[in-house]
Amino acid sequence: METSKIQTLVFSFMDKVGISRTQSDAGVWSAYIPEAERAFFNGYEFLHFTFDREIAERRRELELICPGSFLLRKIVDRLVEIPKVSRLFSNAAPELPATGNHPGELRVLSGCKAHYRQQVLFHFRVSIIGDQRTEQLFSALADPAKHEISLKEGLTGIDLTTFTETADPALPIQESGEDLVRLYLQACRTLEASLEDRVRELQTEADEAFREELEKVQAYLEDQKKELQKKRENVCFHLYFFQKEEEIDKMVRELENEQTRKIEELKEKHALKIQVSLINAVVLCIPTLGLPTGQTATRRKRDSNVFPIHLGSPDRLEARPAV
Amino acid sequence: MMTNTTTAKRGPGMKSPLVQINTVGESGIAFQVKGKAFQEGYLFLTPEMHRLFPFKEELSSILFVDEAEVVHSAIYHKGRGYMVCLTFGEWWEKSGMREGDQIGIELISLAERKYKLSRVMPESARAASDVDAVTVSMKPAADLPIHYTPGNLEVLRKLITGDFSPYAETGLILQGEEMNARTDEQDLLSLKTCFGVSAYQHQLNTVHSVLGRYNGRALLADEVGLGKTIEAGLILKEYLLRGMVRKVLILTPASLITQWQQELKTKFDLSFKNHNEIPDWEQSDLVIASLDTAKSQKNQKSVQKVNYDLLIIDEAHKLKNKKTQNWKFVNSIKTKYLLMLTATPIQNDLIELFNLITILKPGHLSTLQKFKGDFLAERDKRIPKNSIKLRAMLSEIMIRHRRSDTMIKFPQRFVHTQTITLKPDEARLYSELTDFIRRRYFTLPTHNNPRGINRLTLILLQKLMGSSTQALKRALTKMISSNFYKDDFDDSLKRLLDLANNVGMSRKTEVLLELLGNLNEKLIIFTQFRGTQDYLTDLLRERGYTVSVFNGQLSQTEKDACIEKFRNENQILISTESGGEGRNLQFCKVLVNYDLPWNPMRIEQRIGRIHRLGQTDDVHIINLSASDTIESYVLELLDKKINMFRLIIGELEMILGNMHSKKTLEQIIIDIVTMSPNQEAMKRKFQTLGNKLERALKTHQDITRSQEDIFNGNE
Repeated sequence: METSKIQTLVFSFMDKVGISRTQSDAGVWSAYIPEAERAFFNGYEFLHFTFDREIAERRRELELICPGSFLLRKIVDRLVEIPKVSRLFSNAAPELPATGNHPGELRVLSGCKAHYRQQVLFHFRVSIIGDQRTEQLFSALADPAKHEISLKEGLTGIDLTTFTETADPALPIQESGEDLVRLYLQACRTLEASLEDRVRELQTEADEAFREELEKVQAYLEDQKKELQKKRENVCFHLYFFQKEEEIDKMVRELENEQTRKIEELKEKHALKIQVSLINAVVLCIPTLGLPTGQTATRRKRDSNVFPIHLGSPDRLEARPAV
Repeated sequence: MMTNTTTAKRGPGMKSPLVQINTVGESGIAFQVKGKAFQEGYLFLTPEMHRLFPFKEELSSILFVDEAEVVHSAIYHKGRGYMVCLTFGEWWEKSGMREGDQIGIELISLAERKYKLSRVMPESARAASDVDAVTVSMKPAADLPIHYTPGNLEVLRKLITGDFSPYAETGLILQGEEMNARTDEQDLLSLKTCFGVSAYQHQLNTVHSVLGRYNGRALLADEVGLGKTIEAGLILKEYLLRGMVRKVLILTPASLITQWQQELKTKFDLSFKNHNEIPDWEQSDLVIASLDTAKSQKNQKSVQKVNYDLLIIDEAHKLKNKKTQNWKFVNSIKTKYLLMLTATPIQNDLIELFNLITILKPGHLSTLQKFKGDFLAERDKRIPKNSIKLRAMLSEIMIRHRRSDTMIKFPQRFVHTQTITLKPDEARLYSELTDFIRRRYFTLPTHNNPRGINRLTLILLQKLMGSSTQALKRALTKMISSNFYKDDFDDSLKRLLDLANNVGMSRKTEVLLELLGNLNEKLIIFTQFRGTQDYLTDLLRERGYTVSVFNGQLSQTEKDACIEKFRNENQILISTESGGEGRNLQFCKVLVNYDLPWNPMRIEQRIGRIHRLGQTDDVHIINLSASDTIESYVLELLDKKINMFRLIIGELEMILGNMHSKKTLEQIIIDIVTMSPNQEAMKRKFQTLGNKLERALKTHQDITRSQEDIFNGNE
């Protein structure tokens, strides 16, 4: 990512959380951290930073913000928590309806009106947290008109030369009638289905690793307990055996507490968690020639790396209002 | 705006034509549905049903658990008065439901937004015991531990309400996400933002092993000088950048806190706070503290409450005894990952190693009795039997590299000590000053004599004398002109100043000039004092030498410029103690100690500017020492007794650690100087100290040999 983009991202974050900054030298900034944000910056009141590695090399007291820096990672994680949705309009020519099962056939379309039909692009981040942490990015394109959800790994880059943020006033935006909540749930379900095999594999590995370590820890602590109990049995020969017994009982209790604590730590360490975050969503408005009622559209060809899922039966392709 | 369209807008107060309520309870409801909406995933709520979902948010995640303990995820759209769940239809079919059958929803937990979903059988078909029992064990729908971030619904809400932001903002965050996502499992993100870290192969291997095979819990036991701190720093940073770690605690000896903080900042760009700088342990994410402070009564409980992600213990051999507070305390700290650093995991016997490993992975070396039986030889507690088996077990938890295993060339240090005989006037000044200090040291400021000279000042005068007459003159002049010492001290100070003014060029300076006349390469001259620095700078420049001057008064830009000029043009750099920290001065191979600090670690730090991992040539250290001065005794201790100048980087700390003294070496020296009634007594005390240092060195050598036997024996 270019330095200027990182700069924009960081300054955008600072503006959002109310951190004022000044440029104190060429390529060097100073920021005052308000109290509410100091915990995020590890308690520091002032932040002196640069985006330039060469400057940071010479001036090690500066915080370097660049790809690979811890602070940048934290900032991106914070920004993602701010929900964002955008809408873009394609400036391509309106799409024609599909020709059905008779390619090459001459059809006459009448009564069609050009309009924007809407697709929703959901961007997800999937974090798989166990003993390691991996993250994957996914895009799910929900096309209500075609009742399809296309899932692919990675984020869908939008070609901004073919999209704009301003609608053509001549084209109305047609409501698909499709329930957005349902679309979102279906996108999530599609995502889960694609992750299932991998997650099961990881779960099995995590369970095995946990069991292995648990056995060792339990065996060790049980043996320690037995050794203490043996000592307790022999304590009757000791002059102050009451006192000794109490001491050993205390040690046994401490051992049991330790056992509980260690097992909890192990569980926490090996617990597999999959966190799905919806980073943001983009509504894509595609100019289309509308169909008269009754005519249906056929399926489009899919990209090789997508997993299309039909939302309903082919008989229900026509958009209808949500109930 | 893309909104859900309906033929008639429904709100929460309106009755649903698709639902008929049969019974309403305090925490449950039974109803019938009409039509196919439910099977298609929609449940439209009546006012009575809304009461069962008293949530403020526009969109809420709800979980339904059916009788087969399958969990169904739904989203409740409060504004629209309905619930969407993709698997209502599946449940309908599996339960054998038909239109007209009753559905029951019962609250399980409001906090978790969990409800029971069931088919309500007619009275006659229900067993009496089932009526009140709501026992549910949670299981995800597909048995997958998937959690959706609560913030997802906020995005959804914005989508539904058409609350759009400019794509520039959305796109920027996507780019940030792509940047954070790692494309290659083998990539180390940490290397991208390190400074002055040339990670050697053995260090990279250690990092990969800890992150992978050792799952974040390991004993880093490389030999001295191989960069364990660098390894720990890389691992720490890697975990932070991968988002696997947020709360980190580093426990070190108190004397190393500042060094750790500086290294983490200068090399890894990580800002750690020490325990004095944090409001409380829970709130601070990156903390470094001494073990003693952390385990103190004041702090112990607070530290034990925190769930750390990573705990790093430096000098971990201090945890060799399971019965000590140190061991028990560290064992009680909750942490997911743990790194223990020590070059000497075994000092006296193998049980020490067992105790260290037990903190890392209890049970890994089985129980103590079994370990003793399997591995402890009867005669020598340091040498194991079944060493091959022991080494195999250790290899799963411990990483140890020897210098000889790496391909790194370690440069040698060559020491040249120039012993100087003071000229008569210098010797007289030195003697009178030392007597003055000895007399005055125990004369503290009192009510009757509030203008006593404090001890620090007296010691400073002694050190100044050991550096140069010019530095001493400057200090004495200031003290006299300050009027602070207007009493009998004033005359003594004036006398000393007169003696100092009568000293011409010191013998030390003459020796330095002779040296420079014979040297034709770059060198660094270290001194503790600005007075000496200014004097030498003027002197050398007058004689045509090209000199760069480095001290703490320079701005950052000036410091950069100074080092660059020294690198590219000038022959000599005269520096005070702040010289070159974090900067690469390895292009220089000769170092002159014009004076000697009484703290050997500071001498080590001076040498470390040019002699460190990465230096390819041998370095030469020249010490200028006037005989029968305190500096000469200190030099004798360090050079003759512990061979300090020929040690491997890092060995000095270990040797001094073997003295087990509560006072630092400098403090001991100050005590000797101030408490000796005369020169002879002082010499004897220095000799005793020298013997202690010799013993510490021998202990160190014994330990080093035994490590070699245990970890690499029979090779």
